[in-house]
Amino acid sequence: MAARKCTISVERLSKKFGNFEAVKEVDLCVNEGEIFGLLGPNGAGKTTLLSMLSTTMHKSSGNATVNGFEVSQRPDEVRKSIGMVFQENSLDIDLTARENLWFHARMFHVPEKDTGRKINEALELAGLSEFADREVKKYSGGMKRRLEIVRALMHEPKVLFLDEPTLGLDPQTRRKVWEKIRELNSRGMTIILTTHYMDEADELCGRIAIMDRGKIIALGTGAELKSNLKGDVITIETQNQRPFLQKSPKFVKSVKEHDGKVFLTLENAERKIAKVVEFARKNKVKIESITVQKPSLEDVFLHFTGHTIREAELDEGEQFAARFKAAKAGLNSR
Amino acid sequence: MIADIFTLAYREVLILTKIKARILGLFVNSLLWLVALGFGLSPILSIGGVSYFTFLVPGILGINILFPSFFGASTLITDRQFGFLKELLVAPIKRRTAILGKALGLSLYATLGGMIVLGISFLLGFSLSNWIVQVPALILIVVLSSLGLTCLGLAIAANMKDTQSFQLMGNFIVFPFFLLSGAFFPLDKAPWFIQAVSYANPITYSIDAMRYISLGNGHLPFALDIAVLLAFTVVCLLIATWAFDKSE
Repeated sequence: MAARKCTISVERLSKKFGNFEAVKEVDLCVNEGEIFGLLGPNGAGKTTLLSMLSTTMHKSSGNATVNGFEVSQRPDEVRKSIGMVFQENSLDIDLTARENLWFHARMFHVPEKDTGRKINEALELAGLSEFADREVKKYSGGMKRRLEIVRALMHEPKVLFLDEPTLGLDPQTRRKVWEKIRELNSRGMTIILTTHYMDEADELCGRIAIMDRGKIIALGTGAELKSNLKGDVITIETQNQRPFLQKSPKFVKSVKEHDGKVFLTLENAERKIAKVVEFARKNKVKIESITVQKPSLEDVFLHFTGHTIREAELDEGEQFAARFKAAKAGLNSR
Repeated sequence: MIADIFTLAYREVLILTKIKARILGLFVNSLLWLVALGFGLSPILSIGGVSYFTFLVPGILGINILFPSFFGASTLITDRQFGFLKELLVAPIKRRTAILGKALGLSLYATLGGMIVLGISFLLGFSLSNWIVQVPALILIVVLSSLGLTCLGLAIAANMKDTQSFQLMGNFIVFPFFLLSGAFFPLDKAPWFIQAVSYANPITYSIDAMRYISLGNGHLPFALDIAVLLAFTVVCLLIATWAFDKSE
């Protein structure tokens, strides 16, 4: 890992809150120019990991380097080279958009002669020019989100951290934010984002790390992660199901029949579909409809963790109870 | 770093002066004290050869900064609650720069109140023999004491999560500071237990210094007043910086 040049390099990084380990010995290398996604349910440790990388939280152990600067040794250098968009509001709601941007420019030492121009550019980019002098507390959620993003870009960071960039946004605004992220990336910016939306990770990210309970449990491109499942599903609607149930082609791993449909589980379904149709024709099966379903990241998450993202979130109460028990046991054994 | 501190201080003042009505809070109460007690007691009371009103003005200047300075620190908690603190923490500045900027901004705002009170006292008949020197000297004392008080507030607010507990806790500190500071009565004639508490109160020294500047005589040595004030401010500044550095 050390031999490769990583824009963000993480080695055995951990964060403990008392007895609870929010991030457990994570290793990671994010390459230059990548859109890298951290996917997982709430409480998986994504935000904690991001907070350590952006130097807003102290690490407990391990190493993390951003743009060549170690986060605990040279936090100022790290902060200068990154832009951070937090999950929750970090705007000064008592100030106007213009004042917020001005303040950011000053804090990040944008040259004074460029400040006015940069503020106007940022306002335009966010589509907020006509509301520039309105206090942020009067903004809608989408307006605030856009302002946060353009603010983080003012000092031209090499790396952009986005913590749940589209949380709580309407679909239209969400699309716009995605477009913006892709555009920034196409100009060479390295982007690392957290999300618990499967489609967002799938849509945006080159590589995705799936996090659950403080650990990265799988890492790869969306397609790679899905190929781990070895199971696309071809669903055939037909009256004559017997041939499939009795003598399916060899490449079909399993066959199920349910409600007038046959479900074939197999690898690379799109390449095998012709053969399936051929098989049906030979056996005089009249196909009424046929669909191919590739696994979603949701299925991937299920595969690696044994539970869905939603379940993981519902489960949090239980996890808390378990942690509490463990902590108590730890105390007793001392 | 210096430029950053002033930017941060400017932001504080900008926010605080946005709501114009809030500025009233900076001096209206003090003005009531000054008018009611000053005019009420002056006909029957003179202290050390000056009217009670004249005696009272430096005292009111001293206690006027107490509330905005100390409670101004609650903005650190609201910055945290509303999320803006994160923007500060991810900026390439040291945490101590952030806290210094806030302290300076809050104390400048409190000083604004002090200047208004001083201005109104002149209108009400307060006079200084050599105001060109005395007014800047008074303002310096106000800034210094206010900075100390703000830092005391920030030190306490640094690890607090809600403003209500801060207000509650603050009252226990601010009211003794307010009443037992020699603002309303001369300490040298007060019973020993009042004196004992008052001499532990940094505002006592601030007010004594301002009496020395405006009336020509305090009852403590001027150098002692300044030394105590400086020590108080520096110690509070260090504690506030340390507390903020440690907070997550």
